Amino acid sequence: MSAAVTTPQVVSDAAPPSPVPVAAPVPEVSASSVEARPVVLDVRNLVTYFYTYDGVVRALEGVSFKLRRGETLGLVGETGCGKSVTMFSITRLIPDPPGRVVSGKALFRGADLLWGLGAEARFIPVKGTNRVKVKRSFRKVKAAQARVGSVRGQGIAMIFQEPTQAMNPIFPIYDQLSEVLLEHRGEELVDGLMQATPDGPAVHAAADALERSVRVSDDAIRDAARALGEAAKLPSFGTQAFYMARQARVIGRTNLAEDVRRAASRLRLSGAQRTFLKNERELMSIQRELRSVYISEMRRGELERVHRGRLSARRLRTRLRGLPYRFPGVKRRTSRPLREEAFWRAVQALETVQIANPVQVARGFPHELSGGMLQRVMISMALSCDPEILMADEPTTALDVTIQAQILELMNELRTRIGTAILLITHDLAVIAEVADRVAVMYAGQIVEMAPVKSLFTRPMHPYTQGLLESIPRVDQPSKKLESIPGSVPNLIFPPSGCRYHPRCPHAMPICKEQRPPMTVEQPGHNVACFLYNGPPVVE
Amino acid sequence: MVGLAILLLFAALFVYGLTYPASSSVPVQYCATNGEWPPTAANPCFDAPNVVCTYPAGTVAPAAGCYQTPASNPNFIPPTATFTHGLGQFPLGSLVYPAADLSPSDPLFYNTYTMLVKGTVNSIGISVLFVATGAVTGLFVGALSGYYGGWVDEVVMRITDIFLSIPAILLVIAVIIVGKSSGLVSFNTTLLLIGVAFVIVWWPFYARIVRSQSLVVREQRYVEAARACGASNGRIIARHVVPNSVYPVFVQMSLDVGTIPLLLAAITFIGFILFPYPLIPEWGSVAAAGAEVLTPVFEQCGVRGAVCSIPWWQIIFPGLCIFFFSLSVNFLADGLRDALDPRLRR
Amino acid sequence: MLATPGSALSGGDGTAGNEHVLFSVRNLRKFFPIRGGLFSSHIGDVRAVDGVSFTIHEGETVGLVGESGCGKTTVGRMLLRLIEPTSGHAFYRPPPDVVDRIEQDYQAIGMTPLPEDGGAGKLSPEATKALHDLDGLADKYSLFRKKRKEIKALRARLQIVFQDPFSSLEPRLMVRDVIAEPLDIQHVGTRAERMRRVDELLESVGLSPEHAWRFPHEFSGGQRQRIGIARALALRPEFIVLDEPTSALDVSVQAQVLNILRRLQQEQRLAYLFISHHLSVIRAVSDRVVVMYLGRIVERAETDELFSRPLHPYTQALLSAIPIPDPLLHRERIILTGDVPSPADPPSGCHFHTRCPAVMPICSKVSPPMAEVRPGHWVSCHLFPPASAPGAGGAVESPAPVESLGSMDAGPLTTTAEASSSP
Repeated sequence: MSAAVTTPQVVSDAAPPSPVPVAAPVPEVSASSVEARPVVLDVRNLVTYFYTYDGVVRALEGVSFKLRRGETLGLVGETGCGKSVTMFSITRLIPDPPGRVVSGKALFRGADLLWGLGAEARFIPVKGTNRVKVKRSFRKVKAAQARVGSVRGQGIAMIFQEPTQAMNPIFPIYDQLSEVLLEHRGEELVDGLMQATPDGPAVHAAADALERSVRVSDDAIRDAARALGEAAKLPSFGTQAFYMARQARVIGRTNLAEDVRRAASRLRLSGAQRTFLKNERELMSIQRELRSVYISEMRRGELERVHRGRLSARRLRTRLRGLPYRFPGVKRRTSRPLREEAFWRAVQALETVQIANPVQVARGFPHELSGGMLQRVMISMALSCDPEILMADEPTTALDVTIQAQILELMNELRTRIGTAILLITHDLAVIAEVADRVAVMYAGQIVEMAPVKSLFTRPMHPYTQGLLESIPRVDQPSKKLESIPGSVPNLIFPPSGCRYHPRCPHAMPICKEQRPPMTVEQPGHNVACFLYNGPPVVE
Repeated sequence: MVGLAILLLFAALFVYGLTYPASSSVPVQYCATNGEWPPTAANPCFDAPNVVCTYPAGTVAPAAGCYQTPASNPNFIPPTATFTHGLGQFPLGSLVYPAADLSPSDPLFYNTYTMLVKGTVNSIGISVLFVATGAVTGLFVGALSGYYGGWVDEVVMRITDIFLSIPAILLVIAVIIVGKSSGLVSFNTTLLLIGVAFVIVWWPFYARIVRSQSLVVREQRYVEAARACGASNGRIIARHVVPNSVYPVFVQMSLDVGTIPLLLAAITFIGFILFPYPLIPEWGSVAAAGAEVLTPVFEQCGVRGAVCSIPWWQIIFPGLCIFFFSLSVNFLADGLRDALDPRLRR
Repeated sequence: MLATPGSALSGGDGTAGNEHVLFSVRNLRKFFPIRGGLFSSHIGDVRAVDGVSFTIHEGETVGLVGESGCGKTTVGRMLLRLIEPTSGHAFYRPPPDVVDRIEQDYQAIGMTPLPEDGGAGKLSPEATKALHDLDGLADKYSLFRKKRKEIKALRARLQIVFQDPFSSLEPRLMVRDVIAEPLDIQHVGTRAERMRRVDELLESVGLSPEHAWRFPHEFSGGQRQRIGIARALALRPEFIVLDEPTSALDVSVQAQVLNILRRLQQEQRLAYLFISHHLSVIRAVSDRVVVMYLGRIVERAETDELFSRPLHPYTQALLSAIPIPDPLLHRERIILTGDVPSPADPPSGCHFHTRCPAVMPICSKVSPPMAEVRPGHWVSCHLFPPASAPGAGGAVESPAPVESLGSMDAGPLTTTAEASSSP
């Protein structure tokens, strides 16, 4: 039952956070220090429309922001403001009929993810209605998808809202994690296996040390296991040994050293296994080359032709299309070292997200885990390939408050440890206050305010931000009157002219109806799009 | 829209068929030209209103569209040729029945067109009646079973399974045999028996559909809200469960309405004359009767000869009627469902 | 602190007193049977609600808080008899003296030590007498023993607003039919009068009468929730269960809806049972708060008292886990380990002991009784044992003794194992 998997009732000394209240320090990020970091993602004037039967839904109208290395940018807004659409537009996950990224740039790693938009489709308005016919060149759209596909998962990782539905229910967890690892870091795995030394006196000695440490303490076990991994030149073997030792301690097994030595001997590669690994490595490097070329379709075709001469076309095709973890056409014994390596790496990944019993969890299935655990697994999958950007779409909305606190704690810690840039999309301003460095507030498809988090909460400038902050009930301010914003979110098929917020704004002026306010810099790092302020415009 | 148009056409035909002049029987027209009987290819006879037919000397020309028998007109001499003699040549537009059950005094050739028209009444009426009865029964049973759940549901579903296992054609045949053997031959009783047989076979499908829908509906919040206001179970079923479960029933009904004439045709084809012909035309029976002559014609004429002499009009036209009728009902059902679902209203 | 009968502290909820009590809920339980094995035999129970007691007074808002799976929705539905309880009472509008009698009876019964705590498990004569008295009172006042006709009349006064604004309104009816339906069911007024009332109700929730001619799917979530509120108000109820009414709404819309609810409460003297898992919303809305965990109440107090001085470790963790929209606030957070256990297999003793930062050996063996630590502030935790010697008083609700004595406490049903269910 799930209780057995999730509740740490067994001796859990691996890494659960201590029950003593811990202070969660938010790293001090002042505006200036953030500006100094290199830009990882530069989104410029993103425009996305949905061409539906009822008309053209102008979901995003010129969204621009910069994401810098190591910072957490929170994208806040209510339902229908376009925050999820932004995320999907950048990685081209908008369902192409009916949606379409009409224009815009998303610069990542020096190249534009949204290259070639203009050539992919033509727009023909239908006379007499609001509709627009879109004539797409599906060949070009597919090519664009292939280009961006190389970046998803590895450069930009994503986690979504409903963790219980995000994983394939028929495969165990380790399978899904291994898939990601083999896809993006397969060469590392293979190299590690090839140069491992599972035999030798060093390993035997370390195994004996491990057995002795079982009786001492948990920290000793951990150290001994690490030493064993170093001796065998394979860190994942250290992980395996650690869990074997823990198991041995629980059930009182005495021949731990024997078992470890036997496990190590399995790492000794036979001839067939070595050949298999060599072939796999070659395939993986070809894959990587193909994926790294996402700028030009032509170069990809060339590469494919070149490599096709070296390996059979069929193998290449199956390898590029089939599940990497499955290794079709190969005996199970031959692929076993790689699969086991992938398994223990998956366990390591689960350790990094503070899951108390990762081996059990890895062997289990998604339906056996609760929402909080699954979200951790998703985070570990996302982070396992060291992405530069993590995009999180409402990661804690579906979770209970206490579990949400755990996940936010985890994200804070990972942030400081790993330094990935996070784009956090949520409607909950309180979560933003806990986790984000900078905040962008969206309304009806436009960013209306962007500021460092402290600035936003202490001095909100845009009337919409002010309205939002006034309407949130606060536990620490019980007598606060909840002010609601009059009116409702506009229909994006017929958005209001000029500033899209003007029908609901208490400070609306005549100019607001006519022109869209540009984004101006009011204070260093704090930008607003409102005619109430007239600072210098934002420079791209 | 298209379906509505076609269906209106059929409805018009239906009404026309109801008012088609005749007593209780099918109007018959004989045409014999130049003293030849039966008519040949050289002198075919059409029963179009504007064709003038001449009759052998000594016979009385029948009034257009009137049925004549020796009883109605003593001077009327019906032709005596039977099917086996007239192999190869019979008037275009006439309807052929197997000779086995003919009695010498029965007229031989009938008018396909009028049979179709009259047949509309019967076919459409029978189809709609049977399907509606089955649907209503199934709706009733399914809604109750789905709403109450528990052992009621279990028991009713097992009963439904039993009924589902009965094959339609066999039951109808069995019923007819029983009926015939106990002497109930009149049209109305036969119709009743067949109706009962069909309903027995058809209602479980509806019950299943309605039950699965009502299982969903009864969990909806608005049903709970109604209960919170004090609605009795009966009211909830009648006002909430049934109307919200009825959409798939429309689809199934439209499919079934087209299937029934085909079923009747199949039964007639096997050899069980459902309706005491030729008084009661019905599309399926007409088509089946026409198809029955195929075998003897092929045997006797060979393939080449048969091509000219099979009554293709008798097979194809009723078939086309069934086809268009079920197509139009399908379209209509789709349109009806969309029109009734407020979410799709614009 | 001893709760002496007749004092202002009795009535189960302290300072509110025993005047104008709308509901006095006692030892409410709901077990859903789990069927499994070859013949779908009864192999266990999902203990959705496991001995819940609290009081609701006229015109006040009681907030029911807890995470998912703690049973709060089930409690709300039981108060409307949309679900039949497995055992327990809900006394409807008991007069003040009856409230005192109930209190006395429960105390008399409650003093019987549990078998697992070393007691004999048999009832003393006083306890038996109290049980009989309680039974008589239940026949008169308990909601669960009322007949069908009485229930139908009562239903007009007890209403519910659901969480999901999308499925709570029938999509094929026009809004006017949706709102007029309660009136129709209860046969109130003529058709014209009903339509007038529909217009009235729409205006009272901030919509215009022309909206009556549209269909639910043409409205936004917030507007649909307001239609749901209008429907709940149609029969002039005195008590509304609000089952997470704003959880599916955006923040600004939530503020609108909460303001409307507050205004209506003041205008019509409504009592609310506000069920939610957002503590900030609960604080803004409630007069008194009840915190539930895995089917049991862990703490019960007035709002300000609970939020300023939370006693139970779970409440403390819950409060510290709420993210606060203020980046300048550095808080010490209590992060709980592990996940919420399943209600089908709850931990023994105190359900919270597997995650409690202050767990003691006794916590896994005995479930703690509810004790009044401060006036009106009740906690169920071994850190706060009943002040006097065990079994002598203070604790009003011991979870089990009446239970283990069988069915006399139950409403229309018999033993717990045979509880019928409609999940």
